[in-house]
Amino acid sequence: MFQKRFVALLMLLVLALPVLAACGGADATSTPESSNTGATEPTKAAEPTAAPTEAAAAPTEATEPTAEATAEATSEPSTGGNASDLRIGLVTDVGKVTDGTFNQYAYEGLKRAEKELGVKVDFIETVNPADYEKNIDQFASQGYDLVIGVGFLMGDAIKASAAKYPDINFAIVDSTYEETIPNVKGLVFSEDQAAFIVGALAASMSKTGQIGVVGGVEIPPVQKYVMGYEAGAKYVNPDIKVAKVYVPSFTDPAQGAEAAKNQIAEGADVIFGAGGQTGSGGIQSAADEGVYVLGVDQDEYYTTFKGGPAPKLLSSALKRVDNAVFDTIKELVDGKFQGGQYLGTAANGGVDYAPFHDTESEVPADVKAKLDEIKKGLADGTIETGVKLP
Amino acid sequence: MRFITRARAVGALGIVVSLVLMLAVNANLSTKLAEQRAAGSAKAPSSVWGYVSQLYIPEPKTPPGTPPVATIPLPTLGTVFFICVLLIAAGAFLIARNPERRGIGGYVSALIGFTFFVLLIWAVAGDRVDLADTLSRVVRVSTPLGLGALAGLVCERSGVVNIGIEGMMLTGACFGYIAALVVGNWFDAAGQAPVWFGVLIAVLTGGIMAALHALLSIRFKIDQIISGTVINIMAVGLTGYLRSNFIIKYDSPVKKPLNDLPIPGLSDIPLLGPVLFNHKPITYMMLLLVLIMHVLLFRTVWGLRTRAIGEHPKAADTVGIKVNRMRFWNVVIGGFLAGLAGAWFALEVTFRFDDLMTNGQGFIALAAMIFGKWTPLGAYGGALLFSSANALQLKVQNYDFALAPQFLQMLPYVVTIIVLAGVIGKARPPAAVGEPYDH
Repeated sequence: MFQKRFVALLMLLVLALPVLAACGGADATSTPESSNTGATEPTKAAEPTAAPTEAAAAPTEATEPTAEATAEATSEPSTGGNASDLRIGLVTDVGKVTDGTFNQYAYEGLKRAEKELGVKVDFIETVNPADYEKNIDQFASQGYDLVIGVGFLMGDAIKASAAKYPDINFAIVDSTYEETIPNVKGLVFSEDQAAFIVGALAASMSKTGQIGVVGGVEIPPVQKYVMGYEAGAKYVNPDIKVAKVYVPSFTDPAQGAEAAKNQIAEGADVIFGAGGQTGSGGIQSAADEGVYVLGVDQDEYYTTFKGGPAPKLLSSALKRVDNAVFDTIKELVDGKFQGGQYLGTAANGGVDYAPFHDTESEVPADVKAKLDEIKKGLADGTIETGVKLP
Repeated sequence: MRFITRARAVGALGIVVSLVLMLAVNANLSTKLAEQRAAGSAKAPSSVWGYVSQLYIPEPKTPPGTPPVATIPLPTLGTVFFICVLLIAAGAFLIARNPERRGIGGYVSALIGFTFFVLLIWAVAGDRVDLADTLSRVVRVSTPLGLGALAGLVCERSGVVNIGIEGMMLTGACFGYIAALVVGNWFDAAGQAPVWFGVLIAVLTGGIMAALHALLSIRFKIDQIISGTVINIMAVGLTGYLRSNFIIKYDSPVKKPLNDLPIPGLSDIPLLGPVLFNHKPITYMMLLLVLIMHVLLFRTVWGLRTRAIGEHPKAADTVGIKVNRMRFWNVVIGGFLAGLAGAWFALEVTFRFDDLMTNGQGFIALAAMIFGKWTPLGAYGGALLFSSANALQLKVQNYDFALAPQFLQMLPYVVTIIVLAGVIGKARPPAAVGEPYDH
């Protein structure tokens, strides 16, 4: 008898949790527009979430007990022009538009489009991956002109919605499809180019002639980061030794830390973390050991290092999701939107490297000039990373 | 008398493994040589026997690159062949003599150990590896496994299955981390004190989660597997919620994990110093706890009673031991240990909390416990098996090793299956484990 009642109480508690979660979500969405509006640089991330690479978010999914999404229309009146009739909806991956990950970058691209192109924008923050399709539906069923999904994991949901609403355009960050869907654009990035630049930086800053990279699960985007890093390092110093480790998880900072220490013991003096929280744990620990480190995906100065001080963080290999989102919206406004693929490269501003922040004074001017030169070379095609996945 | 006995199966396995290793190393080095010659590399030796693996022992506490104390050059192929031939000979001996028990366990241990060693020197053929760093990592990453195995052992020895160790670790890590952040913020203290306070909270949190498990499974007699699963699932939800709604928004002056604590004098001994005496606090605690728990379990009244309530609670009850009360407190003690393991993740090896950051180590710890037949020293042996494989795969990946890392990551699990299949004697759990006790 008592046992039954106890179990019932427990169940009630479990059911109550998502309600609490929803309250939290709603609170957060009511304030995010204060500072970042119209930023062209990826602005300061308020929250130190570590950056998941594509599939990285997968294990986190299970964490949120149930569905709850908060949709909120931005109140800003549009600035006129024919674009003002266009309505764009953004559905984030599990997370928030202020979480410092690709969700925030996508949101910043959206806000910039609102300001510069005068389109109307809305967003929904996903709490549970089971709600992807439902959240997309909220926009699509209202006849939005473009619905943008963030994250590889939303691939299937976008594909299904695109079939359901053939008249609405869709875009998805970090995913693409084998056959072109006429109303879907996949926004993907040349991870190898971003990594090539920071690889060159690593090789230039290394005194021992050995550098390391801590990768996450061995999947294509991570492999491209690792290989691009090695190629970039060898471009600057053909004799450099690059230690490469893949850790079979994106959420294992302890293992990442051990992998980094392991490379430091063998003489590496610059470590690049390219594997979500695993890589972030690696560079955090490596920075404590006193070697230079490099972040990935977002500017980890604001995420892993919580806005500094980060005396050992040289830079980060960036995916400019904001530029990709903005360019896609601009295509729509110009009437040029087509299904297929957007590839973010150095040429179109889709990949980049982060500012040096606290190491500004330690990176010599000639190295800085060299990085600019490499970025230009990658952009105009005179430098190729040579990365080909097997 | 059957023809295929345990000794013969083990012997045959050893011979097959050794032959495969010899062939693989030979083939791989030959290919490497051909490639190096084709590339005109100056490092290419004159023949495939010319590859040397250098194991070096660095001067403790010196930066990488300082001349080492000693360097052991091992001809790669020669050493591999020597070890494999010995293993084949011993395997043949085992098949011929067909002993009932003696020597089988020893042979399996030797096979595992030498296989790891062969993989290491194979990977560093023509290169060098820091032996002290490799072995110190083995000890370091065995910390959560050792503590988790002890936690499982205290519970199961008293008759309560605890598969919730993973969840207790995760919650311990989360609350310990939060405590360190908050206390650091309140007192505006950036040093080690808030982190130590976090460790304390982590331990207590593990105990509270364990008390919940004990309440469900002992007081309310809910199936112990279900109750443990509830703990694991609840931990994922609870910590994920706290992280996304509190931790990532919270700013605190505390940013560094626990400091290294080298033991004066002892840590300066080459090889032994870095491997045993230059760690962070929780690793030392784990090593001590393994020893203490072994003595407690087999040499004290508490240990005898614990074993009694796990083997035959009725008998224990008749001599006046309060079975359910003792089970409750033992499960809570297990929770303290699991919480300490959680502190290792969030407060010792790195200072951060991430969703699912314990990555299944709580379950692997249970495998280590079974591997060690429910004894603390044996369980730590199991923990070392997993941590060696882990340290090895991290190490060899740095050398463009021919074997995929996934293969090495799989190794300890294969070994566990072989062991659990009854190769090293039968692993017998406490008789009353999993059964609620009703007087």
